[in-house]
Amino acid sequence: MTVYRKRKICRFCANTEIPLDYKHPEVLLNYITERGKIIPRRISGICAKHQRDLACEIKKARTIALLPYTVTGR
Amino acid sequence: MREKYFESTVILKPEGGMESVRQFADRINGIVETMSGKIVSLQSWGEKKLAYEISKNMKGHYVYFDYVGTGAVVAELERNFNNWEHVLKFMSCRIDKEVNLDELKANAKGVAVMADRIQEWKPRDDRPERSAAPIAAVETTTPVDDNREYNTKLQASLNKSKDVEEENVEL
Repeated sequence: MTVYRKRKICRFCANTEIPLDYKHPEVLLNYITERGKIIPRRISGICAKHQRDLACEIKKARTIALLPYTVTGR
Repeated sequence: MREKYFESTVILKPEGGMESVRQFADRINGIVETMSGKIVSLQSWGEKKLAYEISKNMKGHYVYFDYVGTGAVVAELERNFNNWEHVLKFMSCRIDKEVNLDELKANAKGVAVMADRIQEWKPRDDRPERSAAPIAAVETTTPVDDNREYNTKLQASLNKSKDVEEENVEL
C-alpha cells in the first residue's frame, strides 16, 4: 500500500529573513486562526524551535494589543 | 549591575497627539539619563487601532524605544508608567541579540521622535520561497525479520551434530 504524504517545510528555516518578532503582526497573523488561537505546528508545518519562538512572540503581541486574545464571531 | 539592552513599547492615549509623545520622550530621556543609561532610538508608530479595548479606548498612540541600562532603569521606567495617566499599556523586554553595548551607546540617536511607522515586512518578489519537496511515495511493507535467514542457517549448523539429514547450507 502506498501512502502519499506532502512534506511540509518550516517557512522560517527556509527563509531566515522573515522577522519573527512581536513588532511585525503581519507575519504572525498567518499563524493564528480567525478566533485568534495559535495554529498547531502539525498543521502549519513549522519546526519545534520556531513554533516555541512564534508562540512567545504572539503572546507578547497580545499583551501590547497588536493581536487579539480572542475574537467573538458576529 | 551589568548593563543590558532593552526595548519598551508603550501605548499612549490618542487624545494627546504628537505633543504628548514629545513630553513622554523628554521625560523618559531624563529618567534614563539619571540612571546612567542611554536611549538608543525612539519611534512613534502613530495612532493605531487596538486589537481589544483598553480603558474604554479602541485606539492608541504607539511609542517604541530601545535603551541600554541596568535592570533598575527598567524598574524605574515601569514605576513611572504605572503612575502616568496618559499611558494605557506598556511592555518591556530584553533584547537577546549579541550586540556591542559600547558601540550602541556611541551610535545612539537618542530621543529623535520619528513619525514613520515601523516598516511592515513584505516578502521579496524576486526570490520566491522554496516550495515544498515533491510528493514522496512512502511504501508500507510487512516488517522483515532480518535474522530469519541467519537463524535458519544457525539451526542447520546445530542440527549437523544431531545426525539430521542436512541440506546444502552456505555460510
